[in-house]
Amino acid sequence: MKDEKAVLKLERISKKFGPVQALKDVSFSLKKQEILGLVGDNAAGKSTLLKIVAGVYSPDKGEIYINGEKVNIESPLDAQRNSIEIIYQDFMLTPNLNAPANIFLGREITSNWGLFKRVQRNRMREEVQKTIQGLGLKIDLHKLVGELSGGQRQIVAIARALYFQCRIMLMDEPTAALSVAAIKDFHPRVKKARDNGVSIIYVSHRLPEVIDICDRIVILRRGQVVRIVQASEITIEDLVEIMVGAL
Amino acid sequence: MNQNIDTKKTRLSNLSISGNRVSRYISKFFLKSSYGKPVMFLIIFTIICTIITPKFLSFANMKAVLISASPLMIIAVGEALVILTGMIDLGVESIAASTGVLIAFLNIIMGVFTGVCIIVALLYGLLIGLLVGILVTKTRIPSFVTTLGIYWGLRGVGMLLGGGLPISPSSVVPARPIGFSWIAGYFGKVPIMPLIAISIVLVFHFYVCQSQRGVHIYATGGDEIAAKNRGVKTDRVKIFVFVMSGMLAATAGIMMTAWLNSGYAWSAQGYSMQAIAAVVLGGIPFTGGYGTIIGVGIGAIIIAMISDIITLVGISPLYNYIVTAVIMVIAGSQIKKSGEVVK
Ligand SMILES: Nc1ncnc2c1ncn2[C@@H]1O[C@H](COP(=O)(O)OP(=O)(O)OP(=O)(O)O)[C@@H](O)[C@H]1O
Ligand SMILES: [Mg+2]
Repeated sequence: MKDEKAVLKLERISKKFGPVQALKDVSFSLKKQEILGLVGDNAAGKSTLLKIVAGVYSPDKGEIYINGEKVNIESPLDAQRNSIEIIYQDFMLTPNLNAPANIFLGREITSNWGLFKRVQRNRMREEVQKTIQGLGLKIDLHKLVGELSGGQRQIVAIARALYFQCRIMLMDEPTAALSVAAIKDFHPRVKKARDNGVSIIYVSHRLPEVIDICDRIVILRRGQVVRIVQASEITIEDLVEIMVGAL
Repeated sequence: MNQNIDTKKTRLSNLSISGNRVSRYISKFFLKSSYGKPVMFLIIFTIICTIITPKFLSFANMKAVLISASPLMIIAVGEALVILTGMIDLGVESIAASTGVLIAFLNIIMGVFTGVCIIVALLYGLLIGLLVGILVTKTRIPSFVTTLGIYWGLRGVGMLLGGGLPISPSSVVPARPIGFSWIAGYFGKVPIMPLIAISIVLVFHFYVCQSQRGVHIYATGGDEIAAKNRGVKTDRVKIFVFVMSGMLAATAGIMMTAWLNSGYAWSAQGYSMQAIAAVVLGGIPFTGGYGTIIGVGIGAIIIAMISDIITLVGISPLYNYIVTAVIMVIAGSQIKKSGEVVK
């Protein structure tokens, strides 16, 4: 029963926060080179699911398979080791560091003198410069992230996910703070990443965007998967009705 | 003729440009750079003290200030590391005092070889720091509570070891001199205590600015959850800063025993608060994440200057507290950042 093409497979994932059942028996798989939309009302459990795959929360129940092999993702580091990158809905940037330091946080480029690991700030800045330029937005890389605008912060969070090579990319509302122009630059990058072999889960409330960019769409309602559809075969109206439970 | 005037003009305008650049550089240093403000405080305070009494700026007095500031500078560096991560260490003064008693006990009463004593004393500080770090990260007792326990507990340990009395060379018969009293002495014409203290400040400043661990210390203070979710081992960072704080406090304890020529359980009283004051003066907010170690070193020197000027002028040492308080308020109002919440 091994699904050859599934890069990531979730089986009966459940998670409770106290009395709140955030996820219940969630199962679906993410295929290779696929952009999989994940939609649902507020509090449907989308972020919780992504954070479980990213190692922030551990599920109460359920299994995660990567390329057919069962994996234990117990920390963000485990996720990184399994080649999973995430753009968090709330960015997870530290306001007192600049963009390069944030992007490389935990994975700094260092020159090692024995135990002393010296961070190479200039090299990190040059690397980030290239990635950010590709996103078509100007960001002062010397400024602390706390001094950037909301959209600029989102760009930093996006650049962080795009910079590192990965197999699976989780995007939690990556365009929520972006302008129309910035989204126009961003979407081709997402598609390019897919064409380069990355599998992507894409969470968004902007349904036209989801239908446009995704291959398939998973619809979550109160912590449960209610439907998985082909993006090309669904209208926005139907999507909304399934999300709120009218269909 | 005309050419001459022209070159003169250009030269003048060049001059004014470079003049502008210098003043811009100076204003940038004091207002924007992370230790500009502590330096500014230092200069202003020095000027005021010199106006009060010109003796203040004398070479001998400056040397005295630096010597008396040395243990505090070292303790404050450890405190700064802890506060940078957003925690606090109230126990440093008790670690310093109990280390002082411990090393006097070993060196004078037990007659242990000096090198071994110093290593044991540093290990003692390391272990206390490790204990605090593990309590804070694994059992999740807040640092304020944990280190308050250390503050009281180690005063007790120092009392037990010394029997409540100072341990000095004459505690044994025949009297046995302290083997590391050279620390309180001179290297050529240079006093050794400030030499050690300033070296420690510079080394830690460099380390925190340049190392990966340093970035992680700032990240932990900036947003611990974000840092953790990016794979920073924040627990390790926290244990590290407490271990450093413990070892630095122990170093200060060794130094004070050399200086006082005795180990006493009630030495270093008030140093925890003074170290915190130095950190705040140095530009590190209580929430952590901003500021520099050099700034804190300067903060410690300013604190030492306060008690120095009060002694110089000959007014009651009680004013020490009031002057410190006023300076703290001024310093505190400088580090609060616009638009951010204050807690
Ligand atoms: N750390 C937490 N502690 C307690 N409850 C939580 C926590 N995180 C999420 N929840 C709860 O789990 C449920 C799902 O939240 P989640 O953030 O996954 O929703 P979402 O689908 O991402 O919503 P949105 O579209 O608003 O981002 C909500 O009821 C929320 O209150
Ligand atoms: Mg969400």
